[in-house]
Amino acid sequence: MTSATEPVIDATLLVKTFGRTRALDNLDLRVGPGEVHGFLGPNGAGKSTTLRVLLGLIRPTSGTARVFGLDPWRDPVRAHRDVAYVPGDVSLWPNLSGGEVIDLLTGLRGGSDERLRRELIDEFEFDPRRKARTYSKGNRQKVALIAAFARPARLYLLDEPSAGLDPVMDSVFRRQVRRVSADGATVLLSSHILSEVEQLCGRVTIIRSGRAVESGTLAELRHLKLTHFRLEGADAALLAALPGVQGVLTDGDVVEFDVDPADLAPVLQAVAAAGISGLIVSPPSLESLFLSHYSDSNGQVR
Amino acid sequence: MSGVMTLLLIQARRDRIVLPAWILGIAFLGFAIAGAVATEFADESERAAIIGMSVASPAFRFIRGLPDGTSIGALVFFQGYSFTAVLAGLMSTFLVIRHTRTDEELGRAELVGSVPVRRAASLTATLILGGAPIRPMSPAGGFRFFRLSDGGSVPGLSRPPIPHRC
Repeated sequence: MTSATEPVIDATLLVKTFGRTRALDNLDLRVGPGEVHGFLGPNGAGKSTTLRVLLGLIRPTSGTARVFGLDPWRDPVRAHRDVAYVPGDVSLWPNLSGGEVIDLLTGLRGGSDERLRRELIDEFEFDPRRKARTYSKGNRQKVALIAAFARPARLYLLDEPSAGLDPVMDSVFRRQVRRVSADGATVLLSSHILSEVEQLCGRVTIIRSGRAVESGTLAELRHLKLTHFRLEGADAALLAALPGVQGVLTDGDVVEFDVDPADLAPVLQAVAAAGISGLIVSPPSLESLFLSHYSDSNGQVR
Repeated sequence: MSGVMTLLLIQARRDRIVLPAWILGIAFLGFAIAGAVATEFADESERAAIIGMSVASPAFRFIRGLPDGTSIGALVFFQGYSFTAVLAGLMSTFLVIRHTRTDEELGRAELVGSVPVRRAASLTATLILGGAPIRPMSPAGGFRFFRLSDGGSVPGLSRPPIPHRC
């Protein structure tokens, strides 16, 4: 259906308005075959709206969306043939059991791979016999994940799939993404957690207010690799003068800044000498990235 | 079409308590109405009197339609059908809302919307489930229990009632 170089997902100048709200504002998104593509943005940026457009669940106000070269709005049956989808907020029918829902969803896609289904239920430590009304958010998420992974697909659309999963299940989920990716499938993973995308994805598109602000490989987007420092009781002026320190924020005696990986060693020495009383080092949050990289001086997105 | 069948079965399974309860409830009501009318208006003259009175009122004719004679079957139908039909209508309305609007609002429709079946598949399944032959028959089932004619109690099958009770 598609040649090797043709993108699996090709969205151009997508606009979706809900009344006066502009959920998508000329969004461009291209995902090549075999990619694990991170779709990164804060809450309300338009990630789920984009996925719904790509599934043909809603029609874009303008612009074109193509999945496997097909228009998902006009031809949902063919466009969905090789697609597995995990919605962001899984809601199930309360009086059906988890197993019944898994069988319904995989059955509608053409039937599950029995061995895969059993393995997934084991790995996710999921009890398919209980009624859906007794499931927690994490368990409902597992139903959608098992249903998505229990039948091989060529494209997986995952909308914040690890929300509600504990760290152990999260690692099971990541293993499954790596497995389908090794099988040659394309994955579009939406998330608002940078570290999750970093672990799984080769390419990333960053979206804000319905617009793609940046797209590229993780290596190209170097600022995603920054380390975030939060110090107490340090002299801000001293630290700000160091090479590689950027985005300095001071609040009382608390100093926050980001450091490029290449400049970590001298900054650490300076921090050790600064006589600090508290230290938190973490990967940058998406919010701080947006503040430091994707907004101009007025706080407006570029 | 296989998608419709799968969805139909799962919808029937979701409604495995609710739908039988409605159907049996309406059937029981039909049964009760038939019983009450048969004891209350055992005499032909009594039946003629009540029907004459009802027909004289335009409001009654507007709601209930024209009576079909003075047999017990005709009177039961005249007294009970509009009410049981409204109940059957409510049952169908709730059924369709349950499987369409509620699913959309809670986001479950998205799960089904992402699989390769036609967009109308789910609604088609619901309409088949709602139109399953047992359901319009349910008031008739209650009336039948009294061995009354079903003339007219099944829409589209109307014919003059048998003027006696066996």
